[in-house]
Amino acid sequence: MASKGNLTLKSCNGKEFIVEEKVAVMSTTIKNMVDVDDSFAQGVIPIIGVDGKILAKLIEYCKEHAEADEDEEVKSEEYLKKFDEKFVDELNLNDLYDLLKASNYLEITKLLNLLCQKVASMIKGKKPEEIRRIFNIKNDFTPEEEEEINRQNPWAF
Amino acid sequence: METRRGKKKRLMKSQNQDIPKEIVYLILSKLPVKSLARFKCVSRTWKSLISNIQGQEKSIFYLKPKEGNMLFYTVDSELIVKELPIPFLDLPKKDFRYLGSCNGLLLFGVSKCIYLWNPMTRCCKEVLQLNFLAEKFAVAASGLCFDDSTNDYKVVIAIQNWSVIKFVLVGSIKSKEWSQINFPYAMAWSRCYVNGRLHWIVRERKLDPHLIASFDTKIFSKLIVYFDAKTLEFKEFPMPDIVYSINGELRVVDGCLCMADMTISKSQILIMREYGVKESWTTIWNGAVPKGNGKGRRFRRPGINRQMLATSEELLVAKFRHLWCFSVWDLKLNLKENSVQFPLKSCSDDMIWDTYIESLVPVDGETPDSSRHTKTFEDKIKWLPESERSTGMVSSNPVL
Repeated sequence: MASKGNLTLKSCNGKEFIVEEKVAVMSTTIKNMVDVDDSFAQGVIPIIGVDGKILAKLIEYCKEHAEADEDEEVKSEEYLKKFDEKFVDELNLNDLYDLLKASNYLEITKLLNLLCQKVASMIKGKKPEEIRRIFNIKNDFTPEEEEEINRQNPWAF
Repeated sequence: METRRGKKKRLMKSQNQDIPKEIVYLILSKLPVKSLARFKCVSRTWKSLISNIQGQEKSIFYLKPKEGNMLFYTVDSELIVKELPIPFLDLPKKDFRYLGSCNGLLLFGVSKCIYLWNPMTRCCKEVLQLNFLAEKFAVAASGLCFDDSTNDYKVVIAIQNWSVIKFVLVGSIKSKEWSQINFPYAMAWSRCYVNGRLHWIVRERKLDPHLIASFDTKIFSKLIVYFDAKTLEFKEFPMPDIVYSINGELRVVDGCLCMADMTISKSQILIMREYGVKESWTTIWNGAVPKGNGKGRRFRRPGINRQMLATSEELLVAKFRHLWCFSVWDLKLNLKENSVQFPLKSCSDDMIWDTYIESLVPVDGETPDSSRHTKTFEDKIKWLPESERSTGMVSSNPVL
């Protein structure tokens, strides 16, 4: 059991992490759970659908940002910017998408925005067919419809 | 290398089958409008998601050059100035008049013809005609707004005579008809389109119109009104309690209505945090107008057309002294952060500002989710390939 001020988070594959409350409540979902039901603050909070590896990554991110919120001098805006850059650059694609889903589910808005920005910069220059492949999307337009849409924006290609 | 790339792609594919729509929307909202236009054909879901995305608010300005073409530019808080690809190279540039902007569309008049132009899709179309436009001093104020009840764009133009507004004309882009509506105010200026409504600052018509030229603030109280596109009426809007100047300027900042209220001695910038709520008017900056650099230069006309807000923390200032010069001021520290010179020598000192949002709204007046488009749309489409346009005229250095 976690000591006072700490919370225990449990991943879907059974790994437990003891984290400071200020770090855990960077997630709005966890914050709401703790606010509504006091027993969560004492016991173990299960994080459904997030495995240990991804949860560790989330905690690493939240820890830096929670500490920066508390003490701006040690962790300046510039330091955080560098941390964020390094954080997303080191992710492989699998982790990137898992983190996207996890940060969406746990409502870690800052991280979600950071990751979306990363994906946006990855796909910015891609062709529509590459986008379909990356996101596994079926083209549900007829060839005529597709041509019609593209004719409206010839400058975009 | 090939196999690694192959593996990467396979992994991407297997992982992305269940990316929720809300995440896709968030990713799309961070893309430039050009990418969005290209991704509209990815799937029906993507097309409908993209139609709901609007770009960042940008400041747009129009310069009247001494010779050559009309010049439209956008400038952002990073001081990156971009030229917009003008579609009306073959139109007579005499009598050109900028009339307003809404949902990414720009409205302008040349002689008696009124055009809609989307600089992002590079489509431009003549939408209405109005004989008053050809008269030099007839238009006092103007604007464009969208009526979602009829899915129609409305052009609003106030016609003046001897510096007093006589009436307001509202033109429907769908029906091509004009209606004349009553306007119980003496003068109007500073258009601003926010929250789906066109706003003007107006001066009340209380006294003898011959006194209008007087600058006594006690005589002429100032009001904000908005145009109700459904009922074709002007309605009064809550004003801040304390206003110094007789001619404030309205702006859009972070989606909120903003007012730059500047006099030589006292100035403030107010933001209406919650739309329509009088109590939510908040002063975000209070003090004297920022002076020029150390050489004692002053702004030519503080308050009018020269100052604008880039974000709620930053003030973007434009001033003219042989050349146009932009600078960004940190409102909290009251400090100049950065400035850039605009290298166009042949420009006049006349500049018109507005706020503009990049979008893919078609100029035939339909919302972007509609796939229909008219024949005239195609006839009038005039676009220029990227390579033929010169963009980014100004080098900017944010680290300065």
